[in-house]
Amino acid sequence: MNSSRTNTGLSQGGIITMFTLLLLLLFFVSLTLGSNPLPLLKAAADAVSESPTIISLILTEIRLPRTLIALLAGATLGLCGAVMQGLLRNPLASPGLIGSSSGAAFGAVLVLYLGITDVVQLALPVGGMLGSLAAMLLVYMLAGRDASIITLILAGVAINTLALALVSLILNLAPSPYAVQEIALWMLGSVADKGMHDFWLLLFPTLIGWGLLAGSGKALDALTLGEDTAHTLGFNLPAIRWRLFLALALAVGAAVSITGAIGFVGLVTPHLIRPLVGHQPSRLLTTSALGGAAILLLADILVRLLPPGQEIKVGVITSLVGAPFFLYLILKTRRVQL
Amino acid sequence: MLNHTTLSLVLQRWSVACILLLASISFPQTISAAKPQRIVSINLCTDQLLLMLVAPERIASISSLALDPHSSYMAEAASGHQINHGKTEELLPLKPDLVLASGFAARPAVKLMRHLGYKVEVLPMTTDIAGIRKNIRQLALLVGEESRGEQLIQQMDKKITAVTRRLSNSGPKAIFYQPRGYTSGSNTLQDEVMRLAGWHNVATDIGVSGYSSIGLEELLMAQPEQIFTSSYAPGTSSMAQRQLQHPVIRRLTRERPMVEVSYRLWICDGPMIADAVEALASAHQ
Amino acid sequence: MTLLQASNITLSIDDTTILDGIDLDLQAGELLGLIGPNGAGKSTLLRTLAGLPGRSTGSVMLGGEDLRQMEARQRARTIAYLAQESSVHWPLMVERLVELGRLPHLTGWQQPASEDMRVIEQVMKQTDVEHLRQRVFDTLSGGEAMRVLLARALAAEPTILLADEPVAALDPAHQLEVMGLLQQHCNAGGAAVVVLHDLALASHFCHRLQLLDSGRTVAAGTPANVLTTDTLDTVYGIRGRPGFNSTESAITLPWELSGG
Repeated sequence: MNSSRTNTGLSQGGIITMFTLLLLLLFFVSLTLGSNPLPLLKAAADAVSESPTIISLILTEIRLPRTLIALLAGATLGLCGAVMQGLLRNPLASPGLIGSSSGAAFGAVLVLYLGITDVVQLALPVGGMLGSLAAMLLVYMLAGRDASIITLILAGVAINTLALALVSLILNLAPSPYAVQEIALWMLGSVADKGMHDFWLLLFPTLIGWGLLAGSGKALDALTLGEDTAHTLGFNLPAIRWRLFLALALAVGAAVSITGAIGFVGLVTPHLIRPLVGHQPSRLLTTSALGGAAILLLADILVRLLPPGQEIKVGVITSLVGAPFFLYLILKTRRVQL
Repeated sequence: MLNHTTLSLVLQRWSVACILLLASISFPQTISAAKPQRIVSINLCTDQLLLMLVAPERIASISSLALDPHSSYMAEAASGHQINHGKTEELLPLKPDLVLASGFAARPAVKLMRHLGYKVEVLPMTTDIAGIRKNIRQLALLVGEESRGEQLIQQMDKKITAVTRRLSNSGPKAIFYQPRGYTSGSNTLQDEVMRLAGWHNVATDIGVSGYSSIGLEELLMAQPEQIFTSSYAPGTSSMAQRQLQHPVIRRLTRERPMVEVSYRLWICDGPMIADAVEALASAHQ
Repeated sequence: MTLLQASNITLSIDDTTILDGIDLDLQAGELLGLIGPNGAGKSTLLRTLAGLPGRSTGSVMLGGEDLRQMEARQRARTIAYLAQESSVHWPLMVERLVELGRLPHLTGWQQPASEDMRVIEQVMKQTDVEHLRQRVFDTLSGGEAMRVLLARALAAEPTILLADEPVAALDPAHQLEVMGLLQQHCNAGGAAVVVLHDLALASHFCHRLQLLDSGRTVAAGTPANVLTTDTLDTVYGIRGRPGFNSTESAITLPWELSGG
């Protein structure tokens, strides 16, 4: 009787298993779907053979990186949303709303269109990270440490608007004539037409970011009781805050520099997962990462099911679903505050 | 609704009145039937033909793009000429006796200049070499340089024939692929040039008509042996240009490197298209 | 035995003196009440004792060690702090919430082990919240919520409990219940500093009172010595009437505003 610690439906292990299976399924669906259906087994066999064929190239050089990037970026958004909401104790905090994504887009746009990435590839995620960090710190300074939900969101809106304006300014001033048409790519986000080189560029900063975030569960749990109590439970909050800001910037910056600012995955995922894990921040981390990966991959699969020719950006799908959810959250938050 | 329409009508009349007033200060003295002597071109395509056809002293102004060596075949000849940006207020003081524009041209300026009584001629955009010949003849007639026009056409045709004589028409598969996946299918100048240069345009096989974007997967499936590209603004950076570095494209171009054909050869239709045919044909070696 | 000794605690912010050279000591087994009018500096003093970051000067020694130099987790295992406004930001289940009290005992990736579970069960039993274990914190009544938060604090097995107005929002029965739990903790060898406004409760449960006013200690000692007609008048501006506390000592209890 006393060990009924899993009354909230599933155990965490069960949820993780469930999501892993779902991800596996989506992974194979994602590899199969494209401009033409792909005979997966044959393509895989060709891929490991001496001379790769057209279908094996489509598998390994086009669909695999697209799928892997969707997984990594989705997981980053889900995880970072969960960490931000826990750290700031604000249900509306997320990479998209507190400036982290748009700041990253600004940083990445700056280095890409100035041609710095042609010299140093790694400049792209680094630019994204610095932009993300700067935007987050600005929002944090604007809103103050114990900001109310609304103050933080307002500060986020201000910084988002600024970052968006700077992005369009750079794209307009960029020497490349293609730049100006790429604003949707940055503001909505897309994982189409990526290659394994993009994946490798994304992988390492992402893993470092995740690594730094992974150990934050206990601190986030403690923060449930407020900053003072968390401090008296033995957590050095300023150090934790810095570590998490850096880690968030690293992960979000890398993801956005490759995919653009994909909206609402980071906001929505933790809210969908939270009831499954009894609302405990530490239990939300892995599960939100898996959930975010599943949501983004699913959205990208949907994009590919739409009639070809019109390349709809994956961010359109996530925003179409996410924006109403955001409104619902606002209504819910308002009710609680009244 | 009604008020809005009325208001905009009033505003329109006012602006026309103002411009008429401005125009009366420098109204063209004569619109003569003789050879025009103060020709203004407001579009890159007419700029280039004009520079080929008439003596520099008869050209009053050409568009700013004519000076850009990436876009303009006649950039060298263009230097020293007065440039314009297709704005009516720039054109009026030039007192042009012929204003030339092309399919791309700034529409409001064309309308307004016509409204103000200037002779404005708009050349259609074309997608084949027959159309280029027609355009050259039309412009030559307008500026009174018919024999020079025929000479240009002959030179172009001679160059092209020299290439086609050497080649068979059912050549290896090729595709024209630009940043953001833009390709040229049937009914495009690039398609005709590829055919003349002895290539088979695989974009037509996958049903592309006109200009359209295709994905990397479709590019792979089409299995081109040769990829041509024509990067606008080389040396600049964007996501679109980054895509040309995709491993799939690198692999496709491992044996036959991607051939870059200068954009200025076909951004406009003109006799320089013969150079594009030569460039594409030389990729066979 | 002196568990906690604070000397000359001073804090000024922008020329305003919040705390002005306060000394405080806490003996094993002792329940110390911090009383005083609003703005006297009670909560600020308690925060300093809890080792919360701030700009106060002076020394706080915990068992012969400087509190500010102590390793954070070790401090957290010795001192538990119940903040004045204890909000819980996510709708956690009671059981999970109490479990958070074990955080100072867990390192890195360590999950609560059987020893931790034993302590959690014990403190939940002690505070009588076992039947609430599966309830979500937000749905609890004020008395239940305070008992759960107390269980959370006790789960760290601290020697010293610091509680900031733990009974302010409770009805008399629940006030007695919570004060009883604090007393129990002290009787079992621990010690506690409690900020209180209710002088009757303070005199009834606390072994010793320290009365603050404008950042200074005005009186300290047994309730009978602190709660006198004189101090009530000068510090609170009220007149009292005689009463008795649990040890049958004569004390003065608030009755009416003075001067009127």
